[in-house]
Amino acid sequence: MSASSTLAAGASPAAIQHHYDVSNSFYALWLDRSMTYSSALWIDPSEDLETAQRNKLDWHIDRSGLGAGQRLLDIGCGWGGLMRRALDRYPDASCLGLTLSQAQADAIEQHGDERIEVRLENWEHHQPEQPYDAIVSVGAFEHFARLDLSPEEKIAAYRRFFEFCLRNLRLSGRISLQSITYENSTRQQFSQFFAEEIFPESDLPHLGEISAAASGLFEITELRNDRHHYANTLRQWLKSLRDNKLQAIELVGETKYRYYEKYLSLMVVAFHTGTMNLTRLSLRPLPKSTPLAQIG
Amino acid sequence: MNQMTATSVLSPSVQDAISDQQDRIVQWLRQYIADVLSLPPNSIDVEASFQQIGLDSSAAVGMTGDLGDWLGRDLDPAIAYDHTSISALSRALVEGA
Repeated sequence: MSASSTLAAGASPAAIQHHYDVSNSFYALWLDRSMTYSSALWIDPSEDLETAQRNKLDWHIDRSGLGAGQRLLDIGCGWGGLMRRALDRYPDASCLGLTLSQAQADAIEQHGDERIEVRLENWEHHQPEQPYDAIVSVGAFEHFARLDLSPEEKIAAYRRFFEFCLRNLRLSGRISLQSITYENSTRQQFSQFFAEEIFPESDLPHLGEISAAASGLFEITELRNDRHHYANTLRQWLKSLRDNKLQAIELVGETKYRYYEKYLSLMVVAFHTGTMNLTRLSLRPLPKSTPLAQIG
Repeated sequence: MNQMTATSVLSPSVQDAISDQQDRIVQWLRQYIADVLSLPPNSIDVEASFQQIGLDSSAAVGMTGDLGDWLGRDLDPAIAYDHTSISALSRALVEGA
């Protein structure tokens, strides 16, 4: 396993590791048991966080179209929760996960499941021998464009992602995506605290930019805007972090603890007020288009 | 339709206690914001929105966290966005928000 070189358009491995390599034990204090670090999905408001996270994983697995014996690519695979869930449901499937976080890759390798391969590699450098049957990317799209890109460069970077997916997905395959998006806000309002302390080198997409980038390559078949689901997820993470305050400070120190407490609180506000949204969307490749005959 | 509020059916002594508690929260918020913005507490308008007063989102969540610590209960980080002035927030808190 080797680390990829810095990506031109998105966050660098160092920037990703700044956030995700804080400490696996620290994240375990406040995430659910599946270590799922993205918005859950409540089908019923009475469900607990773990159930709502499983709903979310299943939503994406279903929309990716994965079936028995097939191969799944998970771009930005985190600690591997989605791949493990996919294999619980389809034991003879296989999964490849891409991450830029060394701590996440190490945790997945220690799990020792031969059906899962993890690579410390950027999707832009990933060249599989065979196309995949299904692609998922949950909570990674946020890192595909840096804050200093122009709007045109940003859409171009996203378009490279969809071109990558088209090259490496069977025609019958599907993509299921989840990303935080700007809703009632702009890049200019992006807090310096987020930009410098929490998610360095990362800009958020607008839904329209995702749509523009996929245009002519994929069609969107399903879309959910679930900001209140993310606000609730964050509330539960914040409560667990506070409930485990002493252990958290022991693991990462008080300054880092305060950063995370503030970051989770600000995110609750952002999703509660609609500054940010949480977009889930499924896409399928468009047939190669045939130009219409010119009339006259 | 009965227009009575939840507090108006309480006995006078309970109403006084609630009113005292609300006053204490108002004073705490005024002092806190005055300290953050380096202004005299009396210059803080209790009816103005936190945004008008000049609190950004970072200061607002910090205030909510510290207020929760002072009250000894967890407050939703977004509470100051649902009840957007000192007056509205203090009233909501004594009414059980």
